[in-house]
Amino acid sequence: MNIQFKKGVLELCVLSVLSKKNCYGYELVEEISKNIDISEGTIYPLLRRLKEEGYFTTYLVESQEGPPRKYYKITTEGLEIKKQLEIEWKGFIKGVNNIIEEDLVNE
Amino acid sequence: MNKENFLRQLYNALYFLNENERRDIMLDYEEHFRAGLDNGKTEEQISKELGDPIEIAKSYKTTKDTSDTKSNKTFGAKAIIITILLIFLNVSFILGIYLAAWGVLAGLFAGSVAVFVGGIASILGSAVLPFINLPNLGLPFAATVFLGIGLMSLSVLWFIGNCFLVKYLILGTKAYINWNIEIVNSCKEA
Repeated sequence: MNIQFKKGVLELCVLSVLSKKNCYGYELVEEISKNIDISEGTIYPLLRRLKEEGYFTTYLVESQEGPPRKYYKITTEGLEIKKQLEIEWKGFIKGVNNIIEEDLVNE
Repeated sequence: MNKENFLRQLYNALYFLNENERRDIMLDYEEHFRAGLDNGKTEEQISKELGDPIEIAKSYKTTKDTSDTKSNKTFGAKAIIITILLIFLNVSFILGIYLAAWGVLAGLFAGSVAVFVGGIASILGSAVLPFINLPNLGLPFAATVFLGIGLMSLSVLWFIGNCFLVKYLILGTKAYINWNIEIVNSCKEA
């Protein structure tokens, strides 16, 4: 899959996962990479950007082993964007499916 | 690549960010490695799944461009002086050593090719020897053939070794150039 395209879709994936539950970095990355084939490293820069844009906040949680873990929590603004992106995405795949399955013979 | 290598490469490649941001980003990846190890993965596996640290660092660059705090820094007097000093140091001192390093490598490559040719000559020579009037070394035919095979194998190993040296020299060059850019950038005035 094209890299630019993947990046756009990745944003929707991250927001979707976080709209269901708060995650720490590794958890989020695993959740996405078990479904989509990506370089996991590309998720962290995205997380940073989306945080700067105010789509989610972070907080630290003590873990049993080692230093505390950074958790991500989606904001209402993030939820709004997620809804919007989801609508765009669904419209997009519907359009692509139409093109793929359209019968051009009956013109 | 192990954890230490991965983190070091990433840290170096993030030269365009300030120290705080760099540290902060490193923490994310350190946490990722810890969590991965807890889940029974190896360091190699985790860094492979993360991908190329240089590419990852580039993604932070594009992140940076949108918020743009770097490019409105000016190229002040301090940066100019540092640049001139760096150019002077590089031209008068580093460049000579650097070219010499490539020269040595070229010599090593030539050496490996020469040994290979020597191996071929050793085999062919023993086959041709009975027909031309040259002094015989007194070695039996089989010995010269095996000598030839030995020389050719040696030269192939030698050649492969040289390729690694080239790789390290190129990596070193990149790191050195980044280091230069980093110094100049750090002297720019906000």
